[in-house]
Amino acid sequence: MRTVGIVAIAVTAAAIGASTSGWIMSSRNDSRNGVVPTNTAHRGPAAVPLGDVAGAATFGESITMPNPLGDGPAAVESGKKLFRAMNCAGCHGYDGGGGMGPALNDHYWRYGGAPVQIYKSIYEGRPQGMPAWGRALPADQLWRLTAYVGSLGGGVPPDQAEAALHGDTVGRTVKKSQNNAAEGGNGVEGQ
Amino acid sequence: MKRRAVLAALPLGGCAAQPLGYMTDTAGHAADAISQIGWGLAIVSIIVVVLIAALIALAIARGRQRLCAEGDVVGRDYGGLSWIYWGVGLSFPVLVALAVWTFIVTRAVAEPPRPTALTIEVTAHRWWWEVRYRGERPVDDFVAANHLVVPVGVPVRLVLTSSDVIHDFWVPKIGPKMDMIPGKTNVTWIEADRAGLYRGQCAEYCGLEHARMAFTVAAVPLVDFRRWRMAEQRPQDPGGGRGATIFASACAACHAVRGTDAAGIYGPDLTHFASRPTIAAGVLPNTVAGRVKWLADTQGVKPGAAMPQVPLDPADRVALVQYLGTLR
Amino acid sequence: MARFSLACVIAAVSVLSACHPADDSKGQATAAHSATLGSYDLAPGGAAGEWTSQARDYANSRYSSLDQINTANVRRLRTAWTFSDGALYGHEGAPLVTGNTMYTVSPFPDRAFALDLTKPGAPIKWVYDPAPSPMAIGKACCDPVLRGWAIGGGKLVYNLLDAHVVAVDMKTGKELWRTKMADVSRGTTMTMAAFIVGNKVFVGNSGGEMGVSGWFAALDLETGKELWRAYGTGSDKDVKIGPRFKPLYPQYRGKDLGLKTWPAGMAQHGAGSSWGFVSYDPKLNLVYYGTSNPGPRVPSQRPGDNLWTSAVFARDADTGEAVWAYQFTPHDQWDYDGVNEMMLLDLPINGTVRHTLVHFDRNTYAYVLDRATGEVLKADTFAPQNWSSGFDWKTKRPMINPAKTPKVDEEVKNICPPDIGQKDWEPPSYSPRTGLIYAGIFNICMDLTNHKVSYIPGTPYDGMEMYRHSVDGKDGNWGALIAWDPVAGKRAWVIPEKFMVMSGTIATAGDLVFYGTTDGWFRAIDALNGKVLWQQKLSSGVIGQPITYLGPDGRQYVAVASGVGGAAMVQSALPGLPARGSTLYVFSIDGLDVNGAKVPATGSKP
Repeated sequence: MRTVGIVAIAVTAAAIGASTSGWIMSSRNDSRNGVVPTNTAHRGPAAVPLGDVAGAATFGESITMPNPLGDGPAAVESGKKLFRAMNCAGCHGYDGGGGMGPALNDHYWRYGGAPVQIYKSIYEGRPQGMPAWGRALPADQLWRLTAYVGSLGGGVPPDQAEAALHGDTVGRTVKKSQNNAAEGGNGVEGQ
Repeated sequence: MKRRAVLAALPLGGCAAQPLGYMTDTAGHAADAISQIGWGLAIVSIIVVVLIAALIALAIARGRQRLCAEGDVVGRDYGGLSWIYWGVGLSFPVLVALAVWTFIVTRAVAEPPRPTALTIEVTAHRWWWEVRYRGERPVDDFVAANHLVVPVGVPVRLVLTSSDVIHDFWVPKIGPKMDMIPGKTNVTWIEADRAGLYRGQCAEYCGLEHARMAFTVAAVPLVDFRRWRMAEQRPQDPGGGRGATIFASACAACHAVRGTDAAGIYGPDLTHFASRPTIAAGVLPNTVAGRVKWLADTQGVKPGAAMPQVPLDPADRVALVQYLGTLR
Repeated sequence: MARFSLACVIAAVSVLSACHPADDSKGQATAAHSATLGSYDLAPGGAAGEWTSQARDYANSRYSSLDQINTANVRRLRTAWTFSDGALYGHEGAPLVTGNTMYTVSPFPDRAFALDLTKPGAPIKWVYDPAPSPMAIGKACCDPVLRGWAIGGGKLVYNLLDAHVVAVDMKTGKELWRTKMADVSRGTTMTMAAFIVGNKVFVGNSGGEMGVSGWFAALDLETGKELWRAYGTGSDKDVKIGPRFKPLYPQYRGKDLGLKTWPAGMAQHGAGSSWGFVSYDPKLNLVYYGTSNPGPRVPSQRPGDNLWTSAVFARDADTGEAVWAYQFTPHDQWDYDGVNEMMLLDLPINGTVRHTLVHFDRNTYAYVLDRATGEVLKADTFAPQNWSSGFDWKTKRPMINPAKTPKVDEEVKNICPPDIGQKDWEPPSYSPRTGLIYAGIFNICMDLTNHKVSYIPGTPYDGMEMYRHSVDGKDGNWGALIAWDPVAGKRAWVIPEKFMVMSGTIATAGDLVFYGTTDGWFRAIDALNGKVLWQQKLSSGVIGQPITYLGPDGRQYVAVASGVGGAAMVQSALPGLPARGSTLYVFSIDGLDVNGAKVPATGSKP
């Protein structure tokens, strides 16, 4: 009788252990997901469909799409490491306050501040010196960077992206943070 | 060199000899000393265990007899104290001798027998090894990864630290272990007595891929070492082919190849990559098949590694693998 | 070539007068604050009423012999006319005046304007639009600025931010030649003022924070063809060190030191760029210029002296061969570029007149070197600093305070001066009447954390995370204007300023010194005692260089551009820092214009 009891306990414990491990393993972040929106999968001569506002829609996705990795601490922390390792901090400041490049912690975004618009800017590069990272970094890492940039205090939440595009937002009075990047000043907004 | 080629062909999970081979087959002074004392302590311990087991068995047997035979006669002293005198009298000198032997070995292991002629700085990352050889002048310094080359019979000073969590530097057949602690610099030494390719291993749990954080140490004659060092100091050809171009855009943000524009410090330095026996810190052999496997399924081979799955079409991958093969 | 000699000055006995037009032999000023006056070579000479190069002359004196505006009447200085060039980045260059035309170039997009000074309001004669690549905006470390331009041989020559050099016909505004000097996509920009001597144009690159390979080159003025290029790091061949190089000090003897003092492979991204002003000694035929900090800005990644960064070079103007060099900050750990101007003054040092080079370095030492040999004659600190415990006269190197060396991933507080030094590129002026040098300086320290960096082409090779603050605490001053006695090696007097003084200064024979502050005040002070005699608030901060000239009406004007930017933006968090601007101000006594008319007040008839 005692033997049966011991065996039953052992089997139950094994079952619980196995299922717990299985649950942990399966909920581990699959680093291979993360949608790749791109405006470069164009069909025909114009990348932006006629009637569309330039910089608004990504081909096939809406600018209200949230970051597929979410904005939790894991994504933000790994994004922060990448932000420094890829020298983003050198242009945009260690706190995102800007310098050679524009500030990322404010609410002025020349190319849009919604997650998918930030993703596109990092992926494609931009004319005034922003390098194109799409070739060097896979989608997953670009989303992590996007999550970090979004966590700096600026940016536009995805559900407000359409409103921001049309100027239907409230302006802000901001106290400028001290520039701590290279000697250069903040970019000149509006130029 | 032929041996190296043979060894390179085998995945280092078994390391060309059986696991725990370092217990019988050591190739360095420190490892010899440790191995000897290890066996010495083991033998003494076994003898002690056997003796004690025999005595316990005897005691049990005698005790049972006693219990069965007598009634309530007051027990008399069977001379148990003399057992204690004998036991302590025998054990004490043995223990003292072992302690002295341990101190001698620890002392011998702590410092090299002769002044070190070469300094190598090793910085552990999760989960790879950054190796920096210091020369006389700053321009003689160079960086490698996951593979050390040392001259046979020359004591080498190792300056160890870590960039993130605690790791441990251990080449079982050559020398002792030493922790690599972030924010602290530990110094140890190794000296190989025999030429050969030895496996090193991280010996302090450091995360998901701790088990796949190995490195190799090649001990070669001094002449070959000098030749190797000069070759390592030379920069690579800038190259211009498709593979080099793909490397520059897809890899250079994290990896460095001296002589080209790739100077990323996030990942292992890949200058003279093709002359190393393994990829990804001992996980795959550094062959064409190994490189293809690593690039095609990075996270499958070493899940959690800092290197992401770089998106490449198969044609690009082939060109890149070819380019990596030219980095001798 | 006229020589402004001491004897000539002493011989003339005239009293200061506001009415006479400029005269080269002026009376000695009373109560000079330096007992021993120096002098300088006036070459290339030129009319006193014109301003034909950024620094006024080859020696970089920035001294004008005009005295129509002087201590007696400067109170009546008013705006005569203004001009906006439409660009809002920092305005750092000085307008040039010759042939009754003013030539000015905006910061990016580097548009050149010729203004007709014979007409009221100085209307635009022509505009030249070079259309530089916008990519350069994101590669310029310190605002997309232009620190000046040059005229010579009927051409206006200047650098474009995207690493081209252009020459424009001064009469018509047509482009004559355009030379590409580097690939801007890899981080090289050009911001310095081109410097013309004879038929050569001297230019250098920027990019000390971008891991560029620094260089200094000479182009042919007629065709724009490159004559020679000397790098700031690398082999002796690249650095153009050859048989003419005669180093005085042992640390500069050896082959290929520009490679050997770096870890393998790092010299090519070690910067040593040349983005400051250039000076020239016509007798020695040597050009002098400084090199930038080494890259990356994390010193532990590049052990060694890192030659030839943070140094001054003396090169043969025709061949570019190095004749001597001196490194101000060996193995620079704080971004102390060596590019600040080299003023060529002849000063009495220890009883003999020496042909010197005076240089206020970013590391706060005011150096006096012999400009023929590179011998260090004086090294005195001109502003608060704590990185160095003194100058070692045996080895001719500064001694380093180990407590103020940066650490990787660990903050070191209160390192003074910060990366931009207590004096950056803003050029000082020298008055032979007072013997003093007038320099705008800062009063700042930094909390610094270094982060190791990769070299990724086109991105910063930097790693310094800094928080700058005043030396005097939270509400302390950030700047000052000092009058420096180069012979005694100390300050004569100082004007504390709430904000950084990042403008150039000019000194005049009217015993005035003009300078501007980053919060927008343009001041005229007495050159003898520093008393503020006149000031006006401009539309934006002043980080440019003033000039003074005679208009076609024979009237003396003072001109300065306002438009804050550049490195002055480190003050972003300070309340009171103005917004950006783009306006050139021209002042005259009572604001009289070229027709003798006052600028009409608003509401009056046109």
